[in-house]
Amino acid sequence: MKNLNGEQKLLSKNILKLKNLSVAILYGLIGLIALAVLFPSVFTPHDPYGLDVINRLKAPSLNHLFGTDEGGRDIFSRVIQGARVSVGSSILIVGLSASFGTFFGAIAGWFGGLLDTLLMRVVDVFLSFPYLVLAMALAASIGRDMRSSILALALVWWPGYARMVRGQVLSIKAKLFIRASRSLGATNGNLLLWHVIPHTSRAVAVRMSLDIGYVLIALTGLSFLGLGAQNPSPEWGLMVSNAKSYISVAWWYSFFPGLAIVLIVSLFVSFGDRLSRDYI
Amino acid sequence: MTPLLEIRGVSKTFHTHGLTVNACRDVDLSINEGEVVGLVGESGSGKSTLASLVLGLDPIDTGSIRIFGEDLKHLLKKDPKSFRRKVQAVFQQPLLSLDSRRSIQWSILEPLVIHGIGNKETRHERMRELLSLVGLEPSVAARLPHQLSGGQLQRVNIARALALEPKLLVCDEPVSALDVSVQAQVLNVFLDIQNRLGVAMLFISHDLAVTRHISDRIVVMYGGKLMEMGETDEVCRSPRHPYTKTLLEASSFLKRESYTALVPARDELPSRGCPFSPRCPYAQEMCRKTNTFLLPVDEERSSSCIRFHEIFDD
Amino acid sequence: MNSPLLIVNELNVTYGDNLHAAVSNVSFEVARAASMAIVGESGSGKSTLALSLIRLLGPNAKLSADTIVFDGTNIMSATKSQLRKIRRDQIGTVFQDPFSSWNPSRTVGTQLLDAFPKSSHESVRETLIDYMEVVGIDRAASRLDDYPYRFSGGLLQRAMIAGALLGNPSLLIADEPTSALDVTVQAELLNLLDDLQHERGLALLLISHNIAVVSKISEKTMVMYAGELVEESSTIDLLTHPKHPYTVNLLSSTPTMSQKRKIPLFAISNKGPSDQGCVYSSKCSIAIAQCKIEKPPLIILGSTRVACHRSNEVDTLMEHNYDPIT
Repeated sequence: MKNLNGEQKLLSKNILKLKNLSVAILYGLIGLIALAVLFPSVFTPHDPYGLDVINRLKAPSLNHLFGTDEGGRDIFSRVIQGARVSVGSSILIVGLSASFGTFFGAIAGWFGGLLDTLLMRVVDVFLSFPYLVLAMALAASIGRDMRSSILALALVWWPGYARMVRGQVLSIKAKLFIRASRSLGATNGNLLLWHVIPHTSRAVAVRMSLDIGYVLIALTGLSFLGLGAQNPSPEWGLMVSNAKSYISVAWWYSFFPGLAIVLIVSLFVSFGDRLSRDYI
Repeated sequence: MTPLLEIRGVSKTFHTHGLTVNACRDVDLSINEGEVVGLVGESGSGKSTLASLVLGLDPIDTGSIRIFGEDLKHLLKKDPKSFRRKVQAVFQQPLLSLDSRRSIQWSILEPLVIHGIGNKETRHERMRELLSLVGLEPSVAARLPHQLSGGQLQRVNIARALALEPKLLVCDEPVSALDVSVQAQVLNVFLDIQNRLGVAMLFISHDLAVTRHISDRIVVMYGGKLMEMGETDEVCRSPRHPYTKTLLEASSFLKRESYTALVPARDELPSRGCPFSPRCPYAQEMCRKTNTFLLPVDEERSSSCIRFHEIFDD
Repeated sequence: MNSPLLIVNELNVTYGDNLHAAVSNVSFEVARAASMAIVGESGSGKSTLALSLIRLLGPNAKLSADTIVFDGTNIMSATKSQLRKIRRDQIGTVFQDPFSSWNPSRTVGTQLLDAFPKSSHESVRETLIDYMEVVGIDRAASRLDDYPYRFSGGLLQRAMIAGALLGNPSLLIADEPTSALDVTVQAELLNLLDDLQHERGLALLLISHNIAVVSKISEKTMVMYAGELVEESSTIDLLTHPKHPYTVNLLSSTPTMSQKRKIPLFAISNKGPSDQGCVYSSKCSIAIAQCKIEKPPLIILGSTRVACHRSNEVDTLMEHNYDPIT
């Protein structure tokens, strides 16, 4: 062969290779976040819901690293517990959108024709929906809680995946290895499940990493507005919202949850950006 | 004896970007069991389109293709898998023919799994058999496509195609992307499997020397139509079509004094008459007016040149 | 003026930190108006060699040579502007794969005139039209304003040849000019190159992996393997009496129109080139101990140069089932 230069790295195999210090740090931090989401009680020095009114609105100290809120609850513990709520919910939203969107986009791209046109019009409808309006509408009908926020965001985020996967599928469809498998006798089902969708996994994984960050902003924003999590949930956006009333006397109350949002979003977006540069 | 493959009056037209391309016109061709038929043609000759049609990857517009007497269209509708077990393919690009994310083992097992042949053990056994049949070490199985060379990859593709024990292998320019020394190895593999398994082949190539080396019969294609057909040695020693003569001259190690120069012509194919007439040094009015067909000129020989007895006097 | 047009001595090219050189100690000469070919498979270094003659290698290539002298000019020490003039006026180049050598968003004419200062464009354009007719492009004047997609591969190559002739070069380097083209178009293009060589006294350096292509118009052929020059001879002698085992093997593995059909071709083994001694010794069927230790120097046998310790025994020792000349 005149030029065998193809070196397609498998995302799954290479994702664990630590290329250099910055990547190692990113992985380390994400690992920490994952632990906090899964086992918050390991990291919380105090009960996140434990009221201690005598010690309300105390400044940060050794006992209360991030200070206390208006109920005397340890903000540090609440931020950790909140990771499970905020980050956990974001991951759920992204997971739901990615799965449904991938399936939708793959069907549209693979079969083409009228089906494709119809499915893509549906995508257009959902893409044009402002999530805030949808969240308000859902909150009004289902009730104000995380469920309606999660549903609203998932409904608004899946079309992006559908479009992206459809585009990927269109280009994969034309490749020689698909033709080769087809001539072996592979059915549409075989081709979609074994070849096409796995080949979109790289792009989808990268998008998901980035999206966790963006969804987190939207989610905490909804809670801030009162549409998502409700008291006494330690959801970060909600905490910032509650802190509004005490800003002049307790800067730490809005500062630390806000900082958590900023840091975690930056972390996921850097991670996603890193992945996209290395693997796309 | 029913021929393995029978193509009768097949035509295929593509409509892309507002242009109509007559990729294949009035093709008649038969292949018997165990026979190697070499299809020679340049780009735009329609040979790759014909391969797609025979493989059932594209539908034909007119005519019929029969496999052991059964119509291809019906076979594909009623029992596509049984068709696939009879006709398999090897394509031009060894690396691109394989899923880059799957191991060699996975790719060779794929046809067996699709058709539900055997169980896990027997399938692995068959895979090892196939690897040794094409001269590959069993250690190759665990690797990914990008880790193998072009020659090794093409052997993998051959092994994969043979997994279902097909009666006919359609090989579309299988060695064109390979270096000379690697090409020799892969050609030897084709010769070997043909010898051992008696599988029939439709061997498509633009390289006449390569095709000659492996084929029992040669078919020459130009502009979507068949120009000449006959037993390999006969066609190569005494061509019965000006285009074949040109190909022979271009493929040999001769100095240019021996060439018959072609008439420089535009690229578009004429809508009627012999497709080669614009470039043919022997073309006359009737060549440009009469639609030509492959007609028998001798025992086992056909040509579409209406002037062949004037041009070739041997 | 009987001095050689191009003299190359000990040319070496290494890429990045590769241990194995892409081109290793190659020395040769091209006489004026001579037609020469360099033959080899991928990895032989033939294209790298061609590009290094006009110093068109990429940034991570390290080029070193004892001498590269073209028509009296020392290429190794030439300045950037001297090189540009040489590439425009004295050495014409035609690259492989016409379909990727052109910018699809600019007309053929503008691309060919690029190398010339805007002030001279009008007169150069006239000359270009003449050359395009010489190379067989109809309605050349209007074709200049066409975009590459309107040309077939063969015509694009002809246009590139016309462009290469603009500066009235004394050497034309053609790197696989016909590989992407049909066999019949290939033959026409080679005839064109042959005509140009004879009618204009143009020296031709043709690079190809295809010996049949080369045999049609080249008087002398150099065979390269793994970056080294292993044999150089008149083309006829090379095809009928090759003196290097690699050449013999290469010829034996090429199907020709006259050899016996349906028998296995000679298959050169897959082993990589040797690091020690003769670069071909790992695959050579007649290699002896000396071959694995000592690098064979290029020796002169009649009008052939060959790098093999056993070159005078090759004829008798090696089996060959090729018969290239019909």
